[in-house]
Amino acid sequence: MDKVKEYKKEKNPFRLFGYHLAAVGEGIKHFIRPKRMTLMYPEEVQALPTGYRGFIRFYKDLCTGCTMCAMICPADAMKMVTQEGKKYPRINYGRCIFCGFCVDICPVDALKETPIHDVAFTSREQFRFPPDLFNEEFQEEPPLLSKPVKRVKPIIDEDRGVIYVPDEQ
Amino acid sequence: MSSRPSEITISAEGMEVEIIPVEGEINVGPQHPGSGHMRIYVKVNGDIIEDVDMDVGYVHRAVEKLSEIRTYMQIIPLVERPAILDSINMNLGYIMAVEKIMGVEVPERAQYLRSFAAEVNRIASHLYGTGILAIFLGHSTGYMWGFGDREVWVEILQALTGARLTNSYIIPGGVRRDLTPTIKEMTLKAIAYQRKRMAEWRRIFLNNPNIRDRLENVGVMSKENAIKWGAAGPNLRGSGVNYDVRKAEPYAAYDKLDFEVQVYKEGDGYARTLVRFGEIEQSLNMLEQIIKEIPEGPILADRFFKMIPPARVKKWWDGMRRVVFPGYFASFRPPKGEAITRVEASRGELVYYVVSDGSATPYRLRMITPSYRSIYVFKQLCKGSRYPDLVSIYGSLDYFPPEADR
Repeated sequence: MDKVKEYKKEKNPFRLFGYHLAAVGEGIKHFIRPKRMTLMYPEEVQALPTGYRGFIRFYKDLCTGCTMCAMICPADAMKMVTQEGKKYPRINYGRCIFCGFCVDICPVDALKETPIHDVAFTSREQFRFPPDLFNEEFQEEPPLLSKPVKRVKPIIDEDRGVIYVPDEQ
Repeated sequence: MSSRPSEITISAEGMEVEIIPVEGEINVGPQHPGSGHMRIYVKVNGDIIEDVDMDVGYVHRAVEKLSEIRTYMQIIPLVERPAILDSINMNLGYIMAVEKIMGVEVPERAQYLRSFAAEVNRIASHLYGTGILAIFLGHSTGYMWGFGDREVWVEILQALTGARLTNSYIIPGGVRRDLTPTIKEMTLKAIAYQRKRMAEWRRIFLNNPNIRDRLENVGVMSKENAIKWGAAGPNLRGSGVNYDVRKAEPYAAYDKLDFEVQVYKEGDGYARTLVRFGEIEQSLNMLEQIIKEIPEGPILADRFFKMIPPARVKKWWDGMRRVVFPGYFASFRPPKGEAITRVEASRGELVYYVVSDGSATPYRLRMITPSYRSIYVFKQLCKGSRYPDLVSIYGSLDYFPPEADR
């Protein structure tokens, strides 16, 4: 049986003043030595770890057309289309929720997760990837920035929480 | 000056202030960031709240009805969405119900991994709640700290599951990915970091007299009322009721983990906040225990593991410590039956009731979320309190509108 705790209601004005000072002091400490963990997006972009469930790449030559990916898709993003008598999946990224179920269920590993996450489309038509486009390596548009984008990797640190170090790849 | 009978005059030395009791209604929300996705219709008399009407349902997504047309696997992302910051716990309760119907035994290592993910998620969720409470009280440092510290735990979940929030990590019979040495090391560092931060949190937030004045003796819920009004989770434990599903009906690996249920007697906003802080510390201890004690072994029930093609087992499980789905998961049909499960989500007891009629979709899925039970508590606590305390009570309850609306 765990005990029922009680907290102490502080009435002593001197101690209350001390608590005020401690709070302000803590604020000043962080003002001088901040533990900032902001990712300066888009100047810095986080390099995503392997196994990150980002955009999906399709390998058309491996596909057997078993329709399992379309069956398990929770958002109906994956649909089968017939091309030259064979069934292939097409994906609608407007619906995709990146659960990775299709990648995990594909019995021949014709689908693969890529660590690409932030992509912008200019029209709704572009959300839909027919099998041939889905088969291609994803083209990342170069961002419209004057400076080159820094790729950084998050590292858990005991003092700073998350720190971002340049990614070597 | 004509004096009306209803006028009250407060006179202090040389000063005269007239207070005229005004009755009226104030709309809080639904667009106001403080109210969440909800309209709070406050009837006030002067500064005193007479009654509160909660206009909920702005983020109702018909999860229960939608699940009647989805297959069992497709429901996993669906039940996560109501409480996106608590997705592991939402997912876990549902999967436990499905496993009960199917009669699946979950391997030991998977049970530990479920507890691991759930505790990481609990820390992240409590830090979120604390951040929201802090900004409600005008303490924007606490808000930034809550969300910043949360990032550390979200980063661990991302490394473990492959997604920041929409984890979809728990599947029938086990979990999707294994704990790697890298994640263990990350977690140990994160635990050390969070322990250091707790002392700083105490100085700037918990012991701060400004915060204590806004929370102490505000929204006091007695033990009897907490039980009568149906409070759940940290709100219930803040009122001196020792009830935690992890102890009352252990699931996952909680029967093997040593932790203390945080119970405070006072029942005010400060006690509820202290319960959450205490739970973060208990979760840190539990994570250490899990990393130390986690047994080796499979992470998916043998029955499903055997169905995966051997070539895929070699590539994914031996190579990357990930299990992939057998084709069976595409649309499986559990036997006829029903199951009810409960888990301790971050905001309290979460109940799932699943009825299977032998088809690929459930006949009925019922979820009783902890935030739903905070609605009535909030209404009752606000009666008789002052108007500025509305946000303080609201924040201390850690109410999450999408979870309540489902």
